[in-house]
Amino acid sequence: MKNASLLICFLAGCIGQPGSADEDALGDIDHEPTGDEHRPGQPCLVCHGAEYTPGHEVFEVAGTIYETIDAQTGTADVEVIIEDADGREIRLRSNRVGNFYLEEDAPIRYPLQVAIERDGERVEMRSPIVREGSCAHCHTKEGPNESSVGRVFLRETP
Amino acid sequence: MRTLSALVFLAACTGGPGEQTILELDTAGYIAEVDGYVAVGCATLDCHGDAGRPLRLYSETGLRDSRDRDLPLSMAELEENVLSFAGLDQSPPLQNLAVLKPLAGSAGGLDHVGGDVWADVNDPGYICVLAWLEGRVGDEQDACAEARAGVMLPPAP
Repeated sequence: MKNASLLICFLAGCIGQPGSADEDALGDIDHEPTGDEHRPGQPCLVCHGAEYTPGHEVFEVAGTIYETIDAQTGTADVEVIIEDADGREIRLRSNRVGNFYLEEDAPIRYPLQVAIERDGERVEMRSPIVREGSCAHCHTKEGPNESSVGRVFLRETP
Repeated sequence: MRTLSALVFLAACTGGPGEQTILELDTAGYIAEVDGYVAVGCATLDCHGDAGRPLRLYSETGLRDSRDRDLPLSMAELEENVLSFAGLDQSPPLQNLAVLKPLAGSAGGLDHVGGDVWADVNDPGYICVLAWLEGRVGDEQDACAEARAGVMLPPAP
């Protein structure tokens, strides 16, 4: 009986853990269980944030780049150019599934200005990023709509 | 000049006798001088452009009331932004959260999740927003222009 009570208390503690509800909301989609190619298009910092890190690695900024706004899969070798509030420039590159990430120990200060570039094509994000490190927090797959500008994409759909 | 009167009746526990208890916010002044600053600097989708946060603001590249993105704000959206300021706090301008939250603690401001936006009360953004809350934004057009210049959006593609 005592063990059962302890178990209930333990479970109750887990239920209230910050970020777990957001992780649950992402759903158990078909994905690579770990590694830098899993869960493209999802808000990375839900599991790779400083306060809730079941993904173990903590990211400062992370996201997924698509060729066009309606592409179903991400696109590789796009350079992500981040300029922080102190004028520091950081360059990242999207991987095979379009994912990129900047690890936590990178010294950056918000707000950030961001551009993406490949083979002379360059797209600059018009508004600054003020506080959110997950690109997909605002750049949702469901957008564009009232509260989202849609995916991060390199070129207009032909 | 169109004035939006945000009549906010304060509960008995707030405000003392003779203290200003009603904010009359100037919509035309907001559109002319203030929105171009706060909508870019504060209303990104990851901050006050998030519908769930206090002081919810519409902006050209952020939250919209329709699916038309990257177009100038409609009059309805601009009026909603003014109402958001009225709904945020009914305190007199100098004690209003709209100027105290972005202001650094060392200058008398309050804790702000988005950090210190204004280092002190000489920041043109502080001067502009305070003047608007006080109904005299026309006196601070230079400060507002300087504030807007500091956050200007690049042109739409």
